[in-house]
Amino acid sequence: MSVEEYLRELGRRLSVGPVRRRRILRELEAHLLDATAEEERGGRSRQDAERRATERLGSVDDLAARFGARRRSRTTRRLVAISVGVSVAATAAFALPMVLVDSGESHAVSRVARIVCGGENAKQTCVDAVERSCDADSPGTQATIWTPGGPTPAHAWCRKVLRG
Amino acid sequence: MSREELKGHLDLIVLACLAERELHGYALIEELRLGSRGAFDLPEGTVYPALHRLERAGLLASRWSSTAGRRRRMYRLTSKGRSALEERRRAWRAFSAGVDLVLGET
Repeated sequence: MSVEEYLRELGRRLSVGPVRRRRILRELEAHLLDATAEEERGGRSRQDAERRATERLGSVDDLAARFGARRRSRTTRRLVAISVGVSVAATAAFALPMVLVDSGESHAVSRVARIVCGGENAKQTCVDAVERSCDADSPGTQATIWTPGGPTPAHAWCRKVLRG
Repeated sequence: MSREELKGHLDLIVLACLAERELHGYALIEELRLGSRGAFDLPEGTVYPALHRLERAGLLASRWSSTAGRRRRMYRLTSKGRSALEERRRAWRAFSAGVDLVLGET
């Protein structure tokens, strides 16, 4: 199986949210390209090298199952997080910039995380924070950034990253 | 050590590999293989879910890094991860010492 085919199949079978799926696929693409390069240095053709690299990673089904295996127990924990999140959001909304992650399934605020978007690496800091916040969420989850003064420049590009 | 046995200790091994420096998944797998002189030849697909799980547990933190035009997710221990590593190291050494005593080795 080629690297492209492997990643396409894995993407189809992962039962995780879109942000987490994108992160997993990016991370494993880098892994597979490293492994392919290593196999090529060992004298294999590109095609053989890609086949070996994907075999080393294991079957798509096994890998997808390992990434999705904890979803049920996490769902229970998220229900608790929804209650806590709503309370914290109501208290802190007027004081600090924050990220509210809205579940596409329930349309309820499910998680709250404070986020600092200033400084030299403002964009990456914000993207990383949103990705971390969304990692545990379910399919269809989208994130929106709110600040006390309404949408900010960060709002626009974070939405773009998450959806793009 | 068989792959199944190794999986039971995967968290400890991963945390230990990241104790001294930040690594991406591929480098971590190489580190495991070379550091154990081939004894830890894990199925590579087991490492990434473990990294994600340890990060969700707050034991690791990660960030994207670009090198030579390729983006890689770099992992490092958090302070909570460092404490967990020390605790698991102590537990492993106690277990290992006990097994050695039973086997009659010093």
